[in-house]
Amino acid sequence: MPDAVVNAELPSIAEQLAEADASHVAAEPVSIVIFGGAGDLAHRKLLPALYNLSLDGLLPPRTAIVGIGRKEMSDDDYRAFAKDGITQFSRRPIDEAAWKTFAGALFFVNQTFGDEGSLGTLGSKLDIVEHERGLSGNRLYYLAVPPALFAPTVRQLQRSRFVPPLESVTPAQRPFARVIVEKPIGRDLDSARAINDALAEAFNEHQIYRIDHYLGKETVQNILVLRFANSIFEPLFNQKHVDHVQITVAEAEGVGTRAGYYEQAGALRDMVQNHLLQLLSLVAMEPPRSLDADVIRDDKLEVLLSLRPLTGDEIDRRVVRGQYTAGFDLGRPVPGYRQEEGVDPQSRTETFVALQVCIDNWRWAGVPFFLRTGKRMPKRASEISVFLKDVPPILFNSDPNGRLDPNVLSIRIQPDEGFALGISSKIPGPRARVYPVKMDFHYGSTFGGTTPEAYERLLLDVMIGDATLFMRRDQVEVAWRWVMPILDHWRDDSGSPLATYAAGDWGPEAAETLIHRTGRRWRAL
Amino acid sequence: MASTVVDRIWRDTEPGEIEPTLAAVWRDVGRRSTVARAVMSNLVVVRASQAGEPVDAYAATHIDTIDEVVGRHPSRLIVIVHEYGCPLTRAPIATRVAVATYGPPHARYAVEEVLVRSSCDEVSLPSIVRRLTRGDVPTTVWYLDDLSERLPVRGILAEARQLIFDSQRWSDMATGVRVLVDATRDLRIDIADLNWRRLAPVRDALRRMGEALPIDALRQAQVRIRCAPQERAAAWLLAGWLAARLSLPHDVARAIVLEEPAMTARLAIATNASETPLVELGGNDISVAPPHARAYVHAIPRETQSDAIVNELGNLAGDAALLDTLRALAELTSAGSS
Repeated sequence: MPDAVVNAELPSIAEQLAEADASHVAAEPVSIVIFGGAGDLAHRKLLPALYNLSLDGLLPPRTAIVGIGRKEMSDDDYRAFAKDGITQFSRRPIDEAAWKTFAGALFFVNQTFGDEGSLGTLGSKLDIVEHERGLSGNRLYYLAVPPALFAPTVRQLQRSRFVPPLESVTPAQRPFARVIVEKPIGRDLDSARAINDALAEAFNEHQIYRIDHYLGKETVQNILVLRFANSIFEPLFNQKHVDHVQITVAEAEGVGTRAGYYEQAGALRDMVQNHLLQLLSLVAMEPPRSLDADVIRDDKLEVLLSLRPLTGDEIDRRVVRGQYTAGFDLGRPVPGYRQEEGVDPQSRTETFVALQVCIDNWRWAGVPFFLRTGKRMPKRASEISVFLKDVPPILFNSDPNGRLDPNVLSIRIQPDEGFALGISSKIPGPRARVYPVKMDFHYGSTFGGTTPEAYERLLLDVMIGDATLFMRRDQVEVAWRWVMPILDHWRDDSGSPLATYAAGDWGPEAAETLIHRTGRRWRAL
Repeated sequence: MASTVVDRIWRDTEPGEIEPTLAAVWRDVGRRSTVARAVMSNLVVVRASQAGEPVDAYAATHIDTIDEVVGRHPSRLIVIVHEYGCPLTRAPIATRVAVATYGPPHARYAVEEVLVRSSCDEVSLPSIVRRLTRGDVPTTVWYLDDLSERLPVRGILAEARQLIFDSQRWSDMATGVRVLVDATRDLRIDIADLNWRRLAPVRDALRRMGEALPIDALRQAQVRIRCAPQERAAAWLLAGWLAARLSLPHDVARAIVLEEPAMTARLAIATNASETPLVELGGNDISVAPPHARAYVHAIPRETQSDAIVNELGNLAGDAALLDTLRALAELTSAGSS
C-alpha cells in the first residue's frame, strides 16, 4: 500500500494526542468579535465569562477578543472597561497575574455598524491582531446588539467578506465563522422569521448559535442527567405517576432601566416564549437516542409541537396576565409598573403571566403543566417542581384533616442550585406521625467552589462547536407559533383582563384561581 | 442533650445581604467542623419590641426555649422583633444572621437563623417574611405576644401552614378569639394553642366520664368551671369546647365560667349539688370524681413549653376540635367582653 494512502487514513497528531483524553476540550484558537463590545451585556456578562474561562484554562491559547462599538475607546480604555466589569460582576475576583495575560487578548475597534458602510476598520484590526497572535482566522461574531441590528450587521459581515460563501461552508471546514445572537429572536413569528432569514443569508444553520442563557445554567443542564442517568426518576416521568408540573421563574426586581424594551415585550415574549418553553421541553422530552446536539434538539422540538394550542376563550381561562402595582420589597415601598421611569402611565404591558399548558402526547396526556413568571415577586427564584400523584387515602393518608404532602421533585435553577425530593417520614416517637422531609442536594455544598456562569459554558460550547444548548431555528419559530394566538388575542381584545398584583406578592388572585380550579396550589418558593 | 447549642456563629448584615452573609457563615461553620445542614420547616417567631429595647436586642426573651425548639425540630429560624405602631414603610432597621450547631460530636447538625428588627407599618411585614422563608418546607408562625393586644398580621399568616400561640397570655379572651377568627378566616392554616394542650387531661377525663357526665345539670347551668386567674383563658376554652360539642345555649356557656382569685387548684369543674369537683386540675395531677363511680387521681403529662411547641411543629394535621371551640367561643363571647 502506498505511504500516501496510509498517511491519509491516520488521524492527525493532534487527534492522536487528544484521543482517550477525556479532559481534552477541543476549542480552537479563535478571534471573538463582540458587536456592542462596549455595551451592558459585554460589561456584565461576556467579558467576565471570558475572563473566568481564561482563569480555568479553557480559553484557547492566543485567542483574541475584539470589541466593536461606536464609543471612542483605545485598546487600553477597553481593558479598563473590561476590568471594571470583571471586578463588579465576575464570580471570582481579579487575579493580577491572570488578568495581565487576559488583558493582552483584549482589543477595541471604534466603528459604526449596522449600516451601509463597510467594516474596513475592523478588518484591518483583525488582520493585525490575528497575524501578531498567530491565529488561523477562526472567527466568532457575537451580536450583543438590539435585534433590529441583527440583519444589517449580518449583511455587513457578508458584504465585507468576513464570512465565506454559504455553499462552501461545511461543519468541518477551517477556518470557521460562527455567529451568536441573543434573545429576543423577534417580537412575533414574522419578525423572528425575518431575523432567521437574514441570518440564513450569510450563515448555515450549523454556524448560528441562538443563546437562551437559561440553557447554560448548570441545573438546567443537569435536568437531562437527572432524568437519564438515574434509574429512579425516568420511570416516574409520565402521566401514570405525575400529577402535575409547575415551572416558576420569579424575579424580585422591577423593570429597572429596561422600560423601553419591556414596554414592547412584556412577560410572555420576554420569558415564556423562550426560557419557560425551553425548560418545559427539557422536562417533558423523550429520551434522546444520543447526546448529539440535533438529536436532543429534535426531541425538544417534539414537545413544542405537542403543545395543545390555546385559542379564543380558552386563552382567558388558561392564561392570566398581570401587572404589578405599588407594593413592598423586603419591607421597602416600591412603585408600581406604571409609575416606573419610561413606562406609559396607561400601559397594559404584562409583567406577570401564568398559564395552564397541556402536552398532547402519550407520555403527558392529562398532566397539566403550570407555568408562571413575573417581575417584582417576593424573591428571585426559578424552579421546576414535578408533583407526583398522591398515595391512596388509606393507611397514613386516611385523615381528611391531615392529608399527606405529595412527593415533589424540585429542581432549583436559581438561586441555591440543586434539587430536592420531598418524601414523607415518620417522626421518631411512640405515635405514627408523618412529616414531610426532604432529600436535598445543593451544588454549592456538594461540589464546592462557585458554579460557572451560564455564559461561560455557552461561549465555550460555541468555540467547540457544540450547539446542544442553543436554540435551533425551528424551535424558535414553533415556540412563536404557539405563543402567537395569545398575543393576538390580547392585542385584538383590549378588554381582555389585565389583573394586578401588589409588588412583593406572588402574582394576581386570578393566578391562584387558575390553579385552584384544578384542585391544586402554587408551590411556595 | 441534643437541643443544646454547641456553637453559634453570627454576623450583622444588611437586609439585602442576608442570603450571601448566611452563605458566608455556612462556609465558616464548614471550616470549623463537619456539620449537616438541617431544616424541617421555617419557624417564624414574632414578638413586639419592648419599650426602650436596644435595636440589636433580638430574641432576648424566650431564647432558651427557641434554641431548644430549633434543636429538636431543626428549622430555618426567623425571629422578627417588631415595633408596632410605626407609620413608616421601610426595610428592617437591623438584621443579623447566625448558624447554630447542635448535636453530639459524631453527629453535628446546624440550622440557620435570621434575626430581624423591624420598625414599620405592619402592611410591609409580609414582604419581609415572604423573602426570608423557604418555600420547600412548611412554615410555622409562632406569635409570642398577646393576640388580644397585638393583632397578628394576616399577610404573614397567609404565608404559613401553622400558627402557634398561647391563649394563656391573652388579657382579653373575647378580643383574642375574635381577632384570631378574623385573621385566619379563609386561610388554610392549622391553629395550635399551647393552652389547649394543657387542657388535654381535662378534656380526656370528661370524655372518659361519658354517660356519667351530668349533662342535665350542665344544660341548666348547674355546673361551674372554676378557675384561678391565670387559667381564665383555659376555662373559657373548656366552656367553648363543651358548648361546641354538647350544643349548649350561649347564655349557659357564658354563665358557667367562674374566676376564683383564692383558688389553689388551676381549674375545676363541679356541679352546684356537690362539694367534690367532677374534675380538678392541679399542678402535677388531675383528680376525677365521676358520679356513681370510683374517684381517681392521674398524673398529668410533664410537658415544657418547648416540648409542646416541638410536638405541635411535628403535627401539621388540623385540630378540628380546637377550631370548633374557637368558633363557638367567638359566638358566645360576641355579646360582650369576657
